Amino acid sequence: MPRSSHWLNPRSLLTISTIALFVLALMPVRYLGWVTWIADGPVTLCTAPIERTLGLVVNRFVDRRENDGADSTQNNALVARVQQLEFELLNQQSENEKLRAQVAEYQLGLSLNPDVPRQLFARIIGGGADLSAGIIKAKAGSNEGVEVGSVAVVKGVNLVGRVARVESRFCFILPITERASGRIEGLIMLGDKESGPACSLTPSGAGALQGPVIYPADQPQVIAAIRPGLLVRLADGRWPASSQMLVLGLIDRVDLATNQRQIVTVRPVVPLDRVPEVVLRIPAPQPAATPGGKTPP
Amino acid sequence: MRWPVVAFFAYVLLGMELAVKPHLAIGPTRIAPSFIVPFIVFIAMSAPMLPTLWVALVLGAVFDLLSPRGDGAVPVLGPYALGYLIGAFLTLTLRGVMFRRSPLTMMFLAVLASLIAELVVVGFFTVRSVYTDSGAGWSAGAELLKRALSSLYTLATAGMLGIVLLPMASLFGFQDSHSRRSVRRGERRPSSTR
Repeated sequence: MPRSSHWLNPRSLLTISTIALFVLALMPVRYLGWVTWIADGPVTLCTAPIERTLGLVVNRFVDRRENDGADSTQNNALVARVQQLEFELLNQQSENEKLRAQVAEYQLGLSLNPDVPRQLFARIIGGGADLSAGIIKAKAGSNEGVEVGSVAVVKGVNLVGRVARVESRFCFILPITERASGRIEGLIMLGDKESGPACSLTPSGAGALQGPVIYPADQPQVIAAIRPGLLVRLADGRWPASSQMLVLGLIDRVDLATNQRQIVTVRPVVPLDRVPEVVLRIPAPQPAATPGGKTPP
Repeated sequence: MRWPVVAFFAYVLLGMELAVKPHLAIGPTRIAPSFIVPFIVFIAMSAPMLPTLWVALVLGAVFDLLSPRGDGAVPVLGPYALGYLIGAFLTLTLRGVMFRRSPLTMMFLAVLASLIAELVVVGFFTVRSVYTDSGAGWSAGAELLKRALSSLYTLATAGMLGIVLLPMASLFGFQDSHSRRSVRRGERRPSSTR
């Protein structure tokens, strides 16, 4: 028997494959870039037709079930519109404050970055096979101008997450409630337009965010006004300016830690793993600078 | 074993894993049943060892590739491939003492195989969490509990698939390994006496 057949028999190949997969399973992510090519190329190409076909069948059943209860929520569109306007007002106020600060910085010689987003509707076409990973896939990619870091919202004002990876025809969104998305700073709203203390939230792993209330310097004690049902909005400098004041969710419960600090649990208004479509807020491209230092018209 | 038939059913069940499973999840907990594990168990209950292990390895690798994770949404190739491989091996080891033609056996073995596969997966990601940034906030205990409950939920899909697949076993062209061994012995006997 030729020696090569010893290495090519199914048993030896299985052993070699197992060893290779063991090594790959422990390899840091920075060495796994080529895996995304296989996953998004041939594997997605093969599995997309059956996923889509079965998805259509399942969605038809789910939609029919949801439509049965639709009559009782006829004013949903109006409520959403009011929330949208409320967000726009608060966002403008926040933007005004930022612009004032930026103008001051500009006067000191720093550049001004307008950061106005373009909005794009994207249908959610699934998630990963492993639901624990929590990533959702939207049908808009680099062909549509989506970039890594674009912000996804649902129903106009509810923050879903950030785009983690972009392919030509789709992108992957990491919801804010996933552990991998890390810490997020929020602002507790004591009234419609009255902002309260800040809070530093981390994903709890059960579709919610949890973290301590950050007391203002003039009131370093328990704030009785913080109660379940209050709205929490985004106020985090690591997120784009245009996304500040988007809704993170509603306070689900308030606990008191051993150090007498209030711990809030915030649950998104919409379950983020079940959104049918999102709006992607894509940062506007920077105008290219001309050699003379002037931007083209 | 008829590979085209296995490939067709694996393809459909992979589609169900992607399209149907999220709708079966219990609330925001993501406790959901598996469609692939009962299929691997079904194959492992009747097919020879080597093809069974290959089916488990390939399906696990595809599952890994379809699971982007972490802050970069990059799939990690290996954990599910090796988890399903070990799950299939466990089934191969236990099938000798089981009544193979019963959906109840398939349900029991599917839960066991799923548990061991998830244990392997959690083991890999726990090791990875030590040296990768995306491992921040990883809780092995919470993940294990969630995945153990998903394994229990797999009872439902295993029962359903058992009722559907077991009567169709002849389509898959499984050869009984015991009878095949005896046939081989029978063939060898004259040559050995020669």
